Amino acid sequence: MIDKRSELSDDECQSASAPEQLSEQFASLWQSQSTVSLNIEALEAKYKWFNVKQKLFFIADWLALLPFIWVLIYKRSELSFFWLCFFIALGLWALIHTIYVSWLRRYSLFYDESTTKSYLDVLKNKLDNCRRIARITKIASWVVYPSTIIVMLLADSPNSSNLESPIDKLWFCFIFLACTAVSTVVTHRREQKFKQELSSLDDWKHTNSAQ
Amino acid sequence: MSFAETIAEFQPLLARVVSSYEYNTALQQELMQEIALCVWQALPRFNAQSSLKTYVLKIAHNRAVTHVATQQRHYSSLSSQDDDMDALEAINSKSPEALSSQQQQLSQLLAAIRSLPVQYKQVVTLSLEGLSYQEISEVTGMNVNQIGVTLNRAKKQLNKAVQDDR
Repeated sequence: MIDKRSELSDDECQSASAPEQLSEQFASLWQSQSTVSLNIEALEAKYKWFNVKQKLFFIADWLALLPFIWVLIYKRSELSFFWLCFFIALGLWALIHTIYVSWLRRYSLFYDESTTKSYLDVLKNKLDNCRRIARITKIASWVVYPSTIIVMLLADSPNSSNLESPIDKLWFCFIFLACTAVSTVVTHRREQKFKQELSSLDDWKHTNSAQ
Repeated sequence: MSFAETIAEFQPLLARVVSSYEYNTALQQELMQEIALCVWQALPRFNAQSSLKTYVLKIAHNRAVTHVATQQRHYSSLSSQDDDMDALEAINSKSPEALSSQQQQLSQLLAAIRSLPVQYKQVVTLSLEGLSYQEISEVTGMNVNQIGVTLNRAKKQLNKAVQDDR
Protein backbone atom coordinates (compact mmCIF):
# COMPACT_ATOMS: atom_id res chain seq x y z
CA MET A 1 0.00 0.00 0.00
CA ILE A 2 1.28 3.45 -0.84
CA ASP A 3 2.17 5.63 2.12
CA LYS A 4 0.54 8.95 1.28
CA ARG A 5 2.67 10.83 3.81
CA SER A 6 6.07 9.63 2.63
CA GLU A 7 6.82 12.93 0.88
CA LEU A 8 5.28 15.27 3.46
CA SER A 9 7.36 17.64 5.58
CA ASP A 10 6.95 17.49 9.41
CA ASP A 11 4.60 20.46 9.31
CA GLU A 12 2.57 18.89 6.55
CA CYS A 13 2.46 15.56 8.39
CA GLN A 14 0.77 17.31 11.30
CA SER A 15 -1.78 19.02 9.08
CA ALA A 16 -2.34 15.80 7.15
CA SER A 17 -4.16 14.42 10.17
CA ALA A 18 -6.97 16.80 9.25
CA PRO A 19 -9.52 15.50 6.73
CA GLU A 20 -7.77 14.99 3.40
CA GLN A 21 -10.51 16.52 1.33
CA LEU A 22 -10.99 20.28 1.29
CA SER A 23 -13.30 21.67 3.91
CA GLU A 24 -17.03 21.18 3.59
CA GLN A 25 -17.45 24.94 3.51
CA PHE A 26 -15.32 25.30 0.38
CA ALA A 27 -17.02 22.32 -1.24
CA SER A 28 -20.54 23.65 -0.70
CA LEU A 29 -19.48 27.14 -1.89
CA TRP A 30 -17.89 25.59 -4.98
CA GLN A 31 -21.00 23.60 -5.86
CA SER A 32 -23.27 26.63 -5.31
CA GLN A 33 -21.78 28.79 -8.07
CA SER A 34 -24.00 29.75 -10.98
CA THR A 35 -22.72 28.35 -14.25
CA VAL A 36 -22.76 29.33 -17.91
CA SER A 37 -25.02 27.20 -20.08
CA LEU A 38 -24.78 25.90 -23.63
CA ASN A 39 -27.35 25.56 -26.40
CA ILE A 40 -26.85 21.84 -27.00
CA GLU A 41 -28.87 21.66 -30.24
CA ALA A 42 -26.83 24.51 -31.76
CA LEU A 43 -23.62 22.83 -30.57
CA GLU A 44 -24.58 19.51 -32.17
CA ALA A 45 -25.35 21.22 -35.48
CA LYS A 46 -22.07 23.14 -35.32
CA TYR A 47 -20.00 20.02 -34.60
CA LYS A 48 -21.69 17.95 -37.31
CA TRP A 49 -20.75 20.69 -39.79
CA PHE A 50 -17.20 20.72 -38.38
CA ASN A 51 -16.97 16.97 -39.02
CA VAL A 52 -18.26 17.29 -42.60
CA LYS A 53 -15.82 20.17 -43.24
CA GLN A 54 -12.82 18.17 -42.00
CA LYS A 55 -13.78 15.23 -44.24
CA LEU A 56 -14.17 17.57 -47.23
CA PHE A 57 -10.70 19.06 -46.55
CA PHE A 58 -9.30 15.54 -46.38
CA ILE A 59 -10.87 14.58 -49.72
CA ALA A 60 -9.76 17.88 -51.32
CA ASP A 61 -6.15 17.23 -50.25
CA TRP A 62 -6.13 13.92 -52.12
CA LEU A 63 -8.09 15.19 -55.13
CA ALA A 64 -5.28 17.73 -55.67
CA LEU A 65 -3.07 14.80 -56.71
CA LEU A 66 -5.37 13.79 -59.57
CA PRO A 67 -3.90 16.21 -62.19
CA PHE A 68 -0.42 14.72 -61.67
CA ILE A 69 -1.79 11.17 -61.96
CA TRP A 70 -3.75 12.14 -65.08
CA VAL A 71 -0.68 13.72 -66.74
CA LEU A 72 1.61 10.81 -65.86
CA ILE A 73 -0.84 8.15 -67.08
CA TYR A 74 -2.51 9.70 -70.13
CA LYS A 75 0.00 12.33 -71.34
CA ARG A 76 3.23 10.50 -70.58
CA SER A 77 3.98 9.68 -74.22
CA GLU A 78 3.67 13.36 -75.22
CA LEU A 79 6.18 14.56 -72.59
CA SER A 80 9.89 15.02 -73.13
CA PHE A 81 12.30 13.50 -70.59
CA PHE A 82 12.75 16.93 -68.96
CA TRP A 83 9.00 17.46 -68.50
CA LEU A 84 8.47 13.92 -67.29
CA CYS A 85 11.11 14.49 -64.57
CA PHE A 86 9.55 17.86 -63.74
CA PHE A 87 6.05 16.37 -63.28
CA ILE A 88 7.37 13.38 -61.33
CA ALA A 89 9.30 15.70 -58.99
CA LEU A 90 6.27 17.95 -58.47
CA GLY A 91 4.00 14.93 -58.02
CA LEU A 92 6.29 13.38 -55.41
CA TRP A 93 6.52 16.66 -53.52
CA ALA A 94 2.69 17.00 -53.62
CA LEU A 95 2.27 13.39 -52.44
CA ILE A 96 4.60 13.85 -49.46
CA HIS A 97 2.91 17.14 -48.59
CA THR A 98 -0.57 15.54 -48.82
CA ILE A 99 0.41 12.61 -46.60
CA TYR A 100 1.86 14.99 -44.02
CA VAL A 101 -1.21 17.27 -44.06
CA SER A 102 -3.55 14.26 -43.82
CA TRP A 103 -1.56 13.01 -40.83
CA LEU A 104 -2.00 16.41 -39.18
CA ARG A 105 -5.75 16.43 -39.92
CA ARG A 106 -5.97 13.10 -38.12
CA TYR A 107 -4.92 15.01 -34.99
CA SER A 108 -7.57 17.66 -35.53
CA LEU A 109 -10.28 15.00 -35.83
CA PHE A 110 -9.31 13.11 -32.69
CA TYR A 111 -8.47 14.43 -29.29
CA ASP A 112 -5.59 13.31 -27.11
CA GLU A 113 -6.95 12.28 -23.71
CA SER A 114 -3.58 11.83 -21.94
CA THR A 115 -3.04 13.18 -18.42
CA THR A 116 -2.29 16.89 -18.08
CA LYS A 117 1.32 16.16 -17.14
CA SER A 118 2.10 14.34 -20.42
CA TYR A 119 -0.42 16.42 -22.38
CA LEU A 120 1.71 19.57 -21.96
CA ASP A 121 4.66 17.85 -23.65
CA VAL A 122 2.39 16.54 -26.42
CA LEU A 123 0.94 20.03 -26.88
CA LYS A 124 4.43 21.54 -27.14
CA ASN A 125 5.40 18.97 -29.78
CA LYS A 126 2.20 19.59 -31.72
CA LEU A 127 2.74 23.36 -31.77
CA ASP A 128 6.36 22.92 -32.76
CA ASN A 129 5.36 20.57 -35.59
CA CYS A 130 2.78 23.07 -36.84
CA ARG A 131 5.42 25.83 -36.75
CA ARG A 132 7.83 23.61 -38.72
CA ILE A 133 5.18 22.77 -41.33
CA ALA A 134 4.35 26.45 -41.81
CA ARG A 135 8.06 27.18 -42.30
CA ILE A 136 8.57 24.26 -44.71
CA THR A 137 5.52 25.35 -46.72
CA LYS A 138 6.83 28.94 -46.83
CA ILE A 139 10.25 27.83 -48.10
CA ALA A 140 8.62 25.40 -50.55
CA SER A 141 6.49 28.20 -52.01
CA TRP A 142 9.67 30.27 -52.60
CA VAL A 143 11.14 27.32 -54.50
CA VAL A 144 8.14 25.83 -56.34
CA TYR A 145 6.44 28.92 -57.79
CA PRO A 146 9.56 30.84 -58.98
CA SER A 147 11.14 27.65 -60.34
CA THR A 148 7.92 26.89 -62.25
CA ILE A 149 8.05 30.39 -63.77
CA ILE A 150 11.69 29.95 -64.79
CA VAL A 151 11.11 26.47 -66.18
CA MET A 152 7.98 27.49 -68.11
CA LEU A 153 9.66 30.57 -69.61
CA LEU A 154 13.06 29.11 -70.46
CA ALA A 155 12.38 25.49 -71.29
CA ASP A 156 10.23 24.17 -74.11
CA SER A 157 6.76 24.03 -72.67
CA PRO A 158 4.83 20.75 -73.11
CA ASN A 159 2.33 22.67 -75.18
CA SER A 160 4.31 25.59 -76.59
CA SER A 161 1.32 27.38 -78.08
CA ASN A 162 0.13 28.23 -74.52
CA LEU A 163 2.82 30.83 -73.76
CA GLU A 164 3.69 32.30 -77.11
CA SER A 165 2.60 35.90 -76.69
CA PRO A 166 4.41 38.28 -74.27
CA ILE A 167 1.07 39.13 -72.63
CA ASP A 168 0.47 35.47 -71.85
CA LYS A 169 3.95 35.28 -70.35
CA LEU A 170 3.33 38.40 -68.27
CA TRP A 171 0.01 37.04 -66.99
CA PHE A 172 1.64 33.72 -66.19
CA CYS A 173 4.44 35.46 -64.24
CA PHE A 174 1.98 37.75 -62.47
CA ILE A 175 -0.29 34.86 -61.34
CA PHE A 176 2.59 32.72 -60.08
CA LEU A 177 4.29 35.66 -58.32
CA ALA A 178 0.96 36.54 -56.69
CA CYS A 179 0.66 32.91 -55.54
CA THR A 180 4.19 33.16 -54.07
CA ALA A 181 3.33 36.39 -52.25
CA VAL A 182 0.01 35.11 -50.86
CA SER A 183 1.54 31.80 -49.79
CA THR A 184 4.47 33.61 -48.12
CA VAL A 185 2.20 35.98 -46.17
CA VAL A 186 -0.20 33.21 -45.05
CA THR A 187 2.51 30.74 -44.02
CA HIS A 188 4.60 33.46 -42.34
CA ARG A 189 1.57 34.50 -40.25
CA ARG A 190 0.92 30.88 -39.29
CA GLU A 191 4.58 30.39 -38.37
CA GLN A 192 4.52 33.53 -36.18
CA LYS A 193 1.22 32.45 -34.58
CA PHE A 194 2.59 29.04 -33.57
CA LYS A 195 5.87 30.64 -32.41
CA GLN A 196 3.87 33.00 -30.19
CA GLU A 197 1.77 30.14 -28.81
CA LEU A 198 4.91 28.10 -28.10
CA SER A 199 6.48 31.06 -26.36
CA SER A 200 3.30 31.63 -24.30
CA LEU A 201 3.24 27.94 -23.38
CA ASP A 202 6.91 28.02 -22.27
CA ASP A 203 6.37 31.21 -20.23
CA TRP A 204 3.24 29.77 -18.67
CA LYS A 205 4.97 26.47 -17.80
CA HIS A 206 7.91 28.38 -16.34
CA THR A 207 5.61 30.62 -14.26
CA ASN A 208 3.61 27.67 -12.97
CA SER A 209 6.66 25.58 -12.12
CA ALA A 210 8.27 28.55 -10.32
CA GLN A 211 5.25 29.22 -8.12
CA MET B 1 -24.45 7.86 -23.92
CA SER B 2 -24.91 10.38 -26.76
CA PHE B 3 -23.01 13.66 -27.03
CA ALA B 4 -26.13 15.68 -26.13
CA GLU B 5 -26.85 13.51 -23.07
CA THR B 6 -23.21 13.70 -21.93
CA ILE B 7 -23.04 17.47 -22.29
CA ALA B 8 -26.42 17.89 -20.61
CA GLU B 9 -25.30 15.77 -17.66
CA PHE B 10 -21.86 17.31 -17.22
CA GLN B 11 -22.62 20.92 -18.21
CA PRO B 12 -22.55 22.31 -14.65
CA LEU B 13 -19.35 20.37 -13.92
CA LEU B 14 -17.66 21.71 -17.08
CA ALA B 15 -18.81 25.23 -16.28
CA ARG B 16 -17.16 25.01 -12.86
CA VAL B 17 -13.89 23.86 -14.48
CA VAL B 18 -14.12 26.82 -16.85
CA SER B 19 -14.76 29.28 -14.03
CA SER B 20 -11.57 28.14 -12.29
CA TYR B 21 -9.51 29.17 -15.34
CA GLU B 22 -11.38 32.15 -16.82
CA TYR B 23 -12.90 35.18 -15.11
CA ASN B 24 -14.46 36.88 -18.13
CA THR B 25 -17.99 35.60 -18.91
CA ALA B 26 -17.61 35.85 -22.71
CA LEU B 27 -14.34 33.93 -22.58
CA GLN B 28 -15.93 31.38 -20.26
CA GLN B 29 -18.61 30.76 -22.90
CA GLU B 30 -15.94 30.43 -25.59
CA LEU B 31 -13.86 28.01 -23.52
CA MET B 32 -16.98 26.02 -22.65
CA GLN B 33 -17.68 25.53 -26.36
CA GLU B 34 -14.06 24.51 -27.03
CA ILE B 35 -14.27 21.92 -24.25
CA ALA B 36 -17.61 20.61 -25.54
CA LEU B 37 -15.99 20.16 -28.97
CA CYS B 38 -13.11 18.19 -27.43
CA VAL B 39 -15.54 16.02 -25.44
CA TRP B 40 -17.48 15.32 -28.63
CA GLN B 41 -14.25 14.35 -30.43
CA ALA B 42 -13.07 12.11 -27.60
CA LEU B 43 -16.35 10.46 -26.64
CA PRO B 44 -16.23 7.62 -29.23
CA ARG B 45 -12.91 6.49 -27.70
CA PHE B 46 -14.18 6.26 -24.14
CA ASN B 47 -13.45 2.67 -23.09
CA ALA B 48 -14.86 2.72 -19.53
CA GLN B 49 -11.43 2.13 -17.93
CA SER B 50 -12.23 5.13 -15.76
CA SER B 51 -15.58 6.71 -14.95
CA LEU B 52 -17.11 8.97 -17.61
CA LYS B 53 -16.90 11.88 -15.14
CA THR B 54 -13.12 11.41 -14.75
CA TYR B 55 -12.71 11.09 -18.52
CA VAL B 56 -14.68 14.27 -19.21
CA LEU B 57 -12.78 16.17 -16.49
CA LYS B 58 -9.45 15.10 -17.98
CA ILE B 59 -10.46 16.45 -21.39
CA ALA B 60 -11.86 19.65 -19.87
CA HIS B 61 -8.70 20.41 -17.87
CA ASN B 62 -6.40 19.71 -20.83
CA ARG B 63 -8.41 22.00 -23.07
CA ALA B 64 -8.53 24.71 -20.40
CA VAL B 65 -4.76 24.48 -19.92
CA THR B 66 -4.26 24.88 -23.68
CA HIS B 67 -6.59 27.86 -23.66
CA VAL B 68 -4.79 29.77 -20.94
CA ALA B 69 -1.27 28.65 -21.89
CA THR B 70 -1.33 29.42 -25.60
CA GLN B 71 -3.76 32.31 -25.82
CA GLN B 72 -2.15 34.67 -23.33
CA ARG B 73 -1.39 37.35 -25.92
CA HIS B 74 -5.07 37.52 -26.93
CA TYR B 75 -6.32 37.78 -23.41
CA SER B 76 -3.44 39.66 -21.80
CA SER B 77 -5.77 42.48 -20.83
CA LEU B 78 -8.07 39.93 -19.28
CA SER B 79 -5.45 37.71 -17.70
CA SER B 80 -6.85 35.80 -14.79
CA GLN B 81 -4.54 37.23 -12.15
CA ASP B 82 -5.21 40.86 -13.09
CA ASP B 83 -8.90 40.12 -13.33
CA ASP B 84 -8.89 38.40 -9.99
CA MET B 85 -7.17 41.36 -8.35
CA ASP B 86 -9.74 43.68 -9.92
CA ALA B 87 -12.53 41.36 -8.89
CA LEU B 88 -11.28 41.21 -5.34
CA GLU B 89 -10.94 45.00 -5.18
CA ALA B 90 -14.44 45.38 -6.57
CA ILE B 91 -15.81 42.91 -4.05
CA ASN B 92 -14.00 44.53 -1.15
CA SER B 93 -15.10 48.03 -2.16
CA LYS B 94 -18.77 47.07 -2.01
CA SER B 95 -20.70 47.22 1.19
CA PRO B 96 -21.68 43.96 2.83
CA GLU B 97 -25.26 44.76 1.90
CA ALA B 98 -24.33 44.99 -1.76
CA LEU B 99 -23.24 41.41 -1.96
CA SER B 100 -24.61 38.54 -0.01
CA SER B 101 -22.11 36.94 2.31
CA GLN B 102 -22.17 33.68 0.39
CA GLN B 103 -21.68 35.43 -2.95
CA GLN B 104 -18.75 37.35 -1.55
CA GLN B 105 -17.15 34.20 -0.14
CA LEU B 106 -17.66 32.41 -3.45
CA SER B 107 -16.04 35.24 -5.39
CA GLN B 108 -13.10 35.24 -2.98
CA LEU B 109 -12.76 31.47 -3.28
CA LEU B 110 -12.87 31.61 -7.09
CA ALA B 111 -10.34 34.43 -7.21
CA ALA B 112 -8.04 32.50 -4.86
CA ILE B 113 -8.38 29.30 -6.93
CA ARG B 114 -7.65 31.14 -10.19
CA SER B 115 -4.48 32.58 -8.71
CA LEU B 116 -3.12 29.12 -7.79
CA PRO B 117 -0.44 27.41 -9.94
CA VAL B 118 -2.05 25.02 -12.40
CA GLN B 119 -1.19 21.79 -10.55
CA TYR B 120 -2.63 23.16 -7.31
CA LYS B 121 -5.69 24.46 -9.13
CA GLN B 122 -6.36 21.11 -10.76
CA VAL B 123 -5.96 19.11 -7.56
CA VAL B 124 -8.15 21.52 -5.60
CA THR B 125 -10.99 21.72 -8.13
CA LEU B 126 -10.99 17.97 -8.77
CA SER B 127 -11.10 17.39 -5.03
CA LEU B 128 -13.97 19.86 -4.73
CA GLU B 129 -15.80 17.79 -7.36
CA GLY B 130 -15.45 14.78 -5.08
CA LEU B 131 -12.80 12.82 -7.00
CA SER B 132 -10.62 10.35 -5.07
CA TYR B 133 -6.81 10.64 -5.07
CA GLN B 134 -6.66 7.81 -7.60
CA GLU B 135 -9.09 9.60 -9.93
CA ILE B 136 -7.21 12.90 -9.53
CA SER B 137 -4.05 11.00 -10.44
CA GLU B 138 -5.75 9.71 -13.63
CA VAL B 139 -6.55 13.26 -14.68
CA THR B 140 -3.34 15.06 -13.74
CA GLY B 141 -0.69 12.34 -14.11
CA MET B 142 0.65 13.16 -10.62
CA ASN B 143 1.26 10.28 -8.24
CA VAL B 144 -0.95 9.81 -5.19
CA ASN B 145 1.78 11.02 -2.79
CA GLN B 146 2.18 14.28 -4.68
CA ILE B 147 -1.56 14.82 -4.68
CA GLY B 148 -1.72 14.59 -0.87
CA VAL B 149 1.12 17.09 -0.50
CA THR B 150 -0.26 19.45 -3.14
CA LEU B 151 -3.76 19.39 -1.66
CA ASN B 152 -2.44 20.26 1.80
CA ARG B 153 -0.36 23.14 0.50
CA ALA B 154 -3.19 24.42 -1.71
CA LYS B 155 -5.62 24.26 1.19
CA LYS B 156 -3.31 26.43 3.28
CA GLN B 157 -2.98 28.96 0.46
CA LEU B 158 -6.73 29.04 -0.05
CA ASN B 159 -7.47 29.49 3.62
CA LYS B 160 -4.90 32.28 3.84
CA ALA B 161 -6.18 34.02 0.71
CA VAL B 162 -9.83 33.87 1.76
CA GLN B 163 -9.03 35.02 5.35
CA ASP B 164 -6.76 37.85 4.14
CA ASP B 165 -9.52 39.21 1.96
CA ARG B 166 -12.01 39.33 4.79
